Amino acid sequence: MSFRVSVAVTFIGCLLILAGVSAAWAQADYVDDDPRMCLVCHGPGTPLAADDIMHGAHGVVGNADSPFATGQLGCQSCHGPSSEHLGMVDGVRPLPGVVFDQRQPAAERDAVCLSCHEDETGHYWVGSAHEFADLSCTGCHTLHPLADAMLSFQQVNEQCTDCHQRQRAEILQASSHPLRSGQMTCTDCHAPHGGPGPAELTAFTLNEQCLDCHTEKRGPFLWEHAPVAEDCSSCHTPHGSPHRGLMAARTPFLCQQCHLAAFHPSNLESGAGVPPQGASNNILGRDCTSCHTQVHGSNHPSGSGLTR
Amino acid sequence: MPDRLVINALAMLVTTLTAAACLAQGAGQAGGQAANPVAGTVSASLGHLNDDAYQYGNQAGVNEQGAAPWLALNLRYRPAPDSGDTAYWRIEGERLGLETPRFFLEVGQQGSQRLRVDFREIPRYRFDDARTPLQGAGTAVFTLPQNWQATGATTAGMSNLQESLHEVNLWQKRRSLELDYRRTLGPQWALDVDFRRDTVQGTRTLAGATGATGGNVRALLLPGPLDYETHSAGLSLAYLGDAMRWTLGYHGSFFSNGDRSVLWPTPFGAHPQWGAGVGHPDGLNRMALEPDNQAHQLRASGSYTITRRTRLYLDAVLGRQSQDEQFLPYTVNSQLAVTAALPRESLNARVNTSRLDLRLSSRPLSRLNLSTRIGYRDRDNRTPIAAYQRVRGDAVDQQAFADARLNRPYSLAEARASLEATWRFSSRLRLEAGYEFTDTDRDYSEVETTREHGVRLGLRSTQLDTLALALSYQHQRRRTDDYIGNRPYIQTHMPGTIDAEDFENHPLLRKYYLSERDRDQLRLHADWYPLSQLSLGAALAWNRDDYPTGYFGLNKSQVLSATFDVSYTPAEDFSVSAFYSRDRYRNDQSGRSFRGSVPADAFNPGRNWQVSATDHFETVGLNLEREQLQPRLGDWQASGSVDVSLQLAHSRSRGEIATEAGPALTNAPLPDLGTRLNTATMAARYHLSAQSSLRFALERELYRSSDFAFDNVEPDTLANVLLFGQDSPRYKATWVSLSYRYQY
Repeated sequence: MSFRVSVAVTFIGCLLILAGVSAAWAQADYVDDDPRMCLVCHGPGTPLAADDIMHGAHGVVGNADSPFATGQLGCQSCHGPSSEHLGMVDGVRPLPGVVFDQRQPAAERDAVCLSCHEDETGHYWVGSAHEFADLSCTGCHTLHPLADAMLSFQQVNEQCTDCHQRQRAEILQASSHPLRSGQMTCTDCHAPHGGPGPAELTAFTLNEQCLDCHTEKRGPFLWEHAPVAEDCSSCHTPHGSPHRGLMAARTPFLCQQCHLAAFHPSNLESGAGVPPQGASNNILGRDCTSCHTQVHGSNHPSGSGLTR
Repeated sequence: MPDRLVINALAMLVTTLTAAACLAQGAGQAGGQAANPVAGTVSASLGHLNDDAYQYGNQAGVNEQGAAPWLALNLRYRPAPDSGDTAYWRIEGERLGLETPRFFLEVGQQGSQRLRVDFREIPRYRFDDARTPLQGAGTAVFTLPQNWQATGATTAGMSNLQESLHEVNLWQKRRSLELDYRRTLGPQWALDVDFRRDTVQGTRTLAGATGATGGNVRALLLPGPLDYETHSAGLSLAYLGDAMRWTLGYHGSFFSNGDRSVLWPTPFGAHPQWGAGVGHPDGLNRMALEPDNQAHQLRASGSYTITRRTRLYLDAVLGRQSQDEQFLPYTVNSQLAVTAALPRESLNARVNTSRLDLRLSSRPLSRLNLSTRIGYRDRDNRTPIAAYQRVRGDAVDQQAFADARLNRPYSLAEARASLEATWRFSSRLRLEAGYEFTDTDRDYSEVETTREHGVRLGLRSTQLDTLALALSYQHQRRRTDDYIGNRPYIQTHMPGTIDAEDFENHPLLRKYYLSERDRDQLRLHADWYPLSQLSLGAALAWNRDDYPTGYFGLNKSQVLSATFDVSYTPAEDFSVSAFYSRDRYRNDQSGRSFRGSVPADAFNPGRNWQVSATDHFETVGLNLEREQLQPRLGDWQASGSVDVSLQLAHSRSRGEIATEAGPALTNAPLPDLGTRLNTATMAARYHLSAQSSLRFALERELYRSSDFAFDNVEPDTLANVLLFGQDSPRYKATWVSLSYRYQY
């Protein structure tokens, strides 16, 4: 009860503390003849060519929401008021109103993208791991070239592992999901714009995520294995392992971290059970699962030991 | 495989039609009209694998010696900028014609509707050298050779085993087709409908045990069937207002298994503790396979902008998982005595799930970001409990009612709360802090309640133009109420049949996921940009879990990880990158070996043992790309340019398992475990013209592994388990390919 009271107090307190502060947008001047004026310097063949954007999704004028549709502001729909960018100040050309690199705070860059794409990136962006880390939309997406690597199943994993380097190493392990070849992509499980589950999973819980593909393990079974019902990561690791089945540790030792009953579950399994010293049922072949094959659960009325 | 041919034919048809359409469109617009709105590439390839390499097919899509053709395409259509049209499409296909194809299509009208189609095949080739005497691999009914002889209850008594063994492949293939349609219903409304079908087929490893106790159980590995099918569908409606947004949706998933059970004959001769007729030649065994099941969810999510900088988010989910497949009988062996009927015809299993999350995100001050969450999730298992008088291992007569087992429908409820804050000292320096609390209640468990508190502190800095730093530390402390080790043991037995002092697991065992735990995590990430073309990065991670001393089970685990990377891009057409990663995972655990028949064992410290298992991973990678080279040989110069690339990866792991034992136990060192993967790809692309090019690629991949559980272990090495006798996977593959690519 005390927990619920404290949570409620915390929540209400935050509501009160966080009540509204607003700021006005600065007014500035727009270039009239956008994009024609912009293409003078950023047209085809120029060193800073940006015209490809007009041949991609953002250039579809038939969509009234497109930056280049009638009534929109062209390049300045995203880059903001940029009339000063046309001139020079002390021999230096001022930047456009908004630039999409480190010179502009990530939140300001993202606000531009989200003004149109909030319904797609959704619900979970604010407070997500990437938003919290100041990784802006353009940290992953490229807008001006025709192809955006984040939209290609062949390239998206490279994009992700460019930063998530530990995962890049893990997917080279002997047991892994098929991420190396692009048959699976990081975004099959993770939502880069934020998700409802832990680690930005697209499902609400880790188990729901795993069971989305491994539906046969969903049960509910007559004889459940308690950690299976609670948390797949009790035994498995998601990205890579040297042990079969993405096990987090070598069996039978992993099993013995929770099973220490009389006789074989509590035996010390050592080199004494490996040829030429010996041959133990509990460490050769599939060790524990040489008998307890239905380790995720059994629906056989005689299968309480998960052997049926 | 007929469906392989159908899929390949369809893939090639789609590719050909697409390419033809693109060519026609390009030709029609070549005469001074607007630029071709179709862009992308289509390529046709022919490859050759030098030798059979079974597991190589997992990634490459080919594992048999010989030649193989495939197609790839990556095309997109956008209307001309000034056309007013909004129709578009995008196609991406890879390895079409090989065993690992993937095809993606998106077609729609921008701003109003779109349809996505995603098809892929994912094979998993495990072993091609497994050996078994069983006939009927991959089916649900196995038989032994007619001349099978088993004169004792061990593999030594299988007198014609060697001549009966034949090789089987262990593999699976997942095929997945997903359709996702989204339509904008108005300025603020959207509808989303999705459908997915997954099938998994193949031959997998199962284990078939016969017997009732650890002492008289005999088992063999079975090449079991795999025939799963899952259909899932979803429907959601979204309202996208300015201040308020919400989505209501339904998601359903329906799993069906093509095989209900597996039936196999006992290959061992009769054991004296088994019932009559259980051993060879009369004994049969039956295992239940995964039952058909369903899962349904109703989902609601929404957000409301309270003020310009404060937003409230809500997620609510109600779900149900159910399963009601008819039970198999207690045993398939009619010669065993079964007097009591099943308590139910089927389980009528039902798990209700619910989840509620509230999140408030705000920026009350220009320098302060806050995010607070409270959440609750519940897994309420409503499966009925009954007493099951088992026939253990299809080997002995049915248990008496007093020895029956009660099923334990596990339920769990979890409440969470967290607060995260970021304070910006400047645009280049910020401090992050967070607190979280989790309260978990379980039933049928050694521990009824666990509570975990966690604090996190982090710093991010880009104070220097050329250096970005991120440092964070996290501490979590999990505490529990009383650990009652025999509670599940008592709860699965008939009331009154187990004394309060009886136990199954040793009383000093503490299961790691239920135990008290202190967890510390430290992370450091640095990126240095000494030159505009050069970047260097380093990441260090340290994680340590400590469990209470004086108990058995997992005592301590530690992870240490270091990654370094470098990227050098001296020109737009020249880049080099490399990385090195090293990880060490270490688990320390302990136990006490005890025999139920010698009660004093459980209290004899001389039977204690400790295991320290350490896994070392090392990975190195190099990637080099150079474009627009102009080949020249003496006076001759190629008319086209050449792009070259080189990719190298080396990954290896070494598992060390150190065992220590008290004086009453026998101990000997275990061999190390190891895996090693080397892969190198060299490629050169020669541009014949602005549109067409030829690519030659050479890939060499070597994989080897050593595992004492498989190496030099024959099917009959174990007396009581008939194994497959396969070796640890190893292969060498050289894959040469030539591709022609046309670019639109």
